[in-house]
Amino acid sequence: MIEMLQKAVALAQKFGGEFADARFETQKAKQISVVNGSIRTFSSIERNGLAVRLKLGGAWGFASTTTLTSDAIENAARTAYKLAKTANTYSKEKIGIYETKPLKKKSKAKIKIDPENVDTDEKLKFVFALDEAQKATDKRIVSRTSNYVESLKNFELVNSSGSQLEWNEIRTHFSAMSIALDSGKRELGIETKGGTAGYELIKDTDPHVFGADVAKEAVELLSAVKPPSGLMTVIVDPEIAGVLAHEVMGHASEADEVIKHRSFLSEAVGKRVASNLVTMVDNGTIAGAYGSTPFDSEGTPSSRTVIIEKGIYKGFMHSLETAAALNSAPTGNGRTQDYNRRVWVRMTNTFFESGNWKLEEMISDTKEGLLALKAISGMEDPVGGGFQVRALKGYTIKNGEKKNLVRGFSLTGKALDILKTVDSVGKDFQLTAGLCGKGEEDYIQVTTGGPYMRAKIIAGGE
Amino acid sequence: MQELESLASLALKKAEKKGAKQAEAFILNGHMRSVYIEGSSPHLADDKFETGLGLKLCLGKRVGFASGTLHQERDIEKIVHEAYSIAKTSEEDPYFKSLPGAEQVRGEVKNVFCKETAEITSEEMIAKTMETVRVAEEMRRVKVPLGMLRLADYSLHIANSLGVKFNHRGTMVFTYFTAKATSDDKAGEGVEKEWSTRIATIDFERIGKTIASRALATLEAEPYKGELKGIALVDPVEASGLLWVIEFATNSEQVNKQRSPWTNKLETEVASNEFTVEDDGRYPGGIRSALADDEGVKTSKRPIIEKGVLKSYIYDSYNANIANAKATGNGFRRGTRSVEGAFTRPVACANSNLIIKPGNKTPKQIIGQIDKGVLVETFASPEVNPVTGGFSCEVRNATLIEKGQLTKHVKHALLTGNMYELLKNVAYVGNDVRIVESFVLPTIAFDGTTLVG
Repeated sequence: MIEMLQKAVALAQKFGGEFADARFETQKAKQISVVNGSIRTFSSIERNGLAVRLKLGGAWGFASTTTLTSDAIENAARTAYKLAKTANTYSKEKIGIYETKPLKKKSKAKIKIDPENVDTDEKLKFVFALDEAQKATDKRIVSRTSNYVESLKNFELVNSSGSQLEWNEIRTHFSAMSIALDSGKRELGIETKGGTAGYELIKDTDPHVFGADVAKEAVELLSAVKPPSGLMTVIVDPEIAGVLAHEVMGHASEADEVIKHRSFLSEAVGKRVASNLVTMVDNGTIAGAYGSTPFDSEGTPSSRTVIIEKGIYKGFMHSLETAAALNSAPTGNGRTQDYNRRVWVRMTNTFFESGNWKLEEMISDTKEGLLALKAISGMEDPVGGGFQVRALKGYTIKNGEKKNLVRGFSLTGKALDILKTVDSVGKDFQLTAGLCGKGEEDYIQVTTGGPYMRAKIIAGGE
Repeated sequence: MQELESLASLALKKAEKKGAKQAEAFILNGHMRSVYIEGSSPHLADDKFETGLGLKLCLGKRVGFASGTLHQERDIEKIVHEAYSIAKTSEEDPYFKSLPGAEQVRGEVKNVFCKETAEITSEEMIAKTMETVRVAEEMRRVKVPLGMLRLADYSLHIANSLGVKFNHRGTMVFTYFTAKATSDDKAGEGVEKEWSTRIATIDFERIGKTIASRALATLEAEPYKGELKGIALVDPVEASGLLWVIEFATNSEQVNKQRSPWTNKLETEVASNEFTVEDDGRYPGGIRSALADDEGVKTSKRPIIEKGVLKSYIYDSYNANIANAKATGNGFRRGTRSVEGAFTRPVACANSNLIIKPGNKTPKQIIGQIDKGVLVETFASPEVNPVTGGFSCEVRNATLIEKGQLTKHVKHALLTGNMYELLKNVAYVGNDVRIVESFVLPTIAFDGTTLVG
């Protein structure tokens, strides 16, 4: 396929493209979903497609096809050129591209057990074990969902700078969700785990413990009370800290948002944005983490990008385009969901680094407050810097002691106001696998995380 | 279309040759085009073709689903083999009875395919997006950092070994724009989205005016302090996010699995007396409207909530079999913003078009009747826990209502409540109906919310 990609790039240049790249992608995925003791979905996906991207003046043209003939590829290159030419008639500024040295590499995913080599029976046993563990935990569990997903992506990339890359990414992910019912009241328990890993991720997990913990969580929440509301001292867990890192600070640190004047952090470089206990990074090189990738979708190797260092804002994440625009270097964050989606600046593994407090010390040091646990959802706000996350549950804290279990609530406020009040950062560190959308689409695999952190935050109970 | 039928027929023949008792082929051919605005000008324009097959293969009660893009006949062979391997190694699904049988699918659905939309040039698409940018940026301090227009022209064919054969061609338009207003050290955004099957119905000038005025309002917004119990009047786009609980609670998948709080609640009161909801798979211009759903079952109009009383659930064929009910034409794979990759998804039970019966007052008249409340035009994310109904959503564009007047713009506050309780306290339903994803709904006022700052 590399030869066809070379041909596509050569054509794109011949048509008039100032920079061009061509990608071919093969995606293979298997999913097993067991609901209440029976298989609800057992499916497989295989998608192949090729995309040509071409820059002309101040605009990009992009065309993709699932028809892999010479004619279709030539047509894609021609279409990309026409689109760029038309869009460029409205452009006021030229797009620059960071000039990279040609990179010719082949990279294979470092996994221990290729999921494709594992018997289906074994995978089914694992998912059924997750289900059975939930069922056996409590009679009040009325609904159980257990999922397993394996995915393999092969990438080939050629660009007009002379790079030729081939690599693959293998990811494994599983989850369990229980619903408990008592006296008409329903509550939810949920847990997920995923990584750039093979089947070893499953082998390292006891499904009986994993499933039972999820079910216990749902049952315990049946007796949870309404949480308090208002501005208060809140200890957030690694998941919720991760949402703050990713959704607010992370999205606003994507350099395309800065260029569009859409980031509240545009002028923040070198300034204090958090207490000196706060350090935040995006790191796509962490072995095994769900958001790790050897190269981004433009062929830039992944890297560790320091965003906040001891409370001082350091800089942005970049693609080839944004690096050129802001006179910086690409950071390996030009990512795309699929072969038929656009490349733009996206995160990889984004988190706050750990500190030196134990969780027990943070609780005993809190006179009155809330311990917020498990992020259910969060939303980006790169312009306003507003933070919103939904916590599945929490505990009230009174006079240094964990008290009542409280049901779901939201946390909100200005991210910078929150980060400046961070007065303790925990030792325990955790990354959580998930999918990140930008503009409510273009979903890519990422992790978010951090340690337990204590700050002043507005809580709103339901 | 003939080509899609031939491919589906070939897939079914190969599946049957493998020993499948039943099989179902879903083939989609899509042409998707988008224009992305960044920094007030078109940054990227794209043009994408995709053809793919999703195949369900049943060996008795063992069911496998495999999908893939189609480039050559060998791809069909691979997909059939994969679906067969999955079914062979899978365990029996005790709930699976049968794929849907053939039935006569007759009638006409208006405005689902638009020739003008399918044939519009990329130049015209770009010009339309720039019209929104021009109108918005006529307002001082306003820029359009982000915008998008996407069109899809797609054909699909569904066939199964029980004789189902259904063709559909549709168009889909989705647009999303953001304006940013700045003043001194303040900045805020205004957002608007629109859905349609026809490009001519999208008013790009109105979108430009709306995003600009919403962005400017955020500059005047003050952080809300305190707690306000009262009425929340919610814009249709945001209300659809909250009312998604109706789809969840009436979805037979959730009912069969006892996740729905409306399990065993048919003919009981679940909403206010003036609240009526229908599911209409043939609503003219509805995003998912077609004569049949994505498994070839004919669509219809069906009461869901009538004057506050729960009348029925929605069923795909799988869940209908479990509940001993009839499938209602609610098995879908297509999304409401794009059809890309629809062939990779097994059928899931979902609303076709959920129609909230409009009232007779304009949003302005409703505001005039509210003593104490808040108008919410944008949430950070209008998400509700569908199992419990609980929500607390950050408001991004919101204005207080005091004694029938809009007063202060507010920010940094959470609107909290329980949607299942609020459905029983619908104060007003507007007459400003809009298509939003799989909803057709107006502005709605819920009594009993709390705004917390």
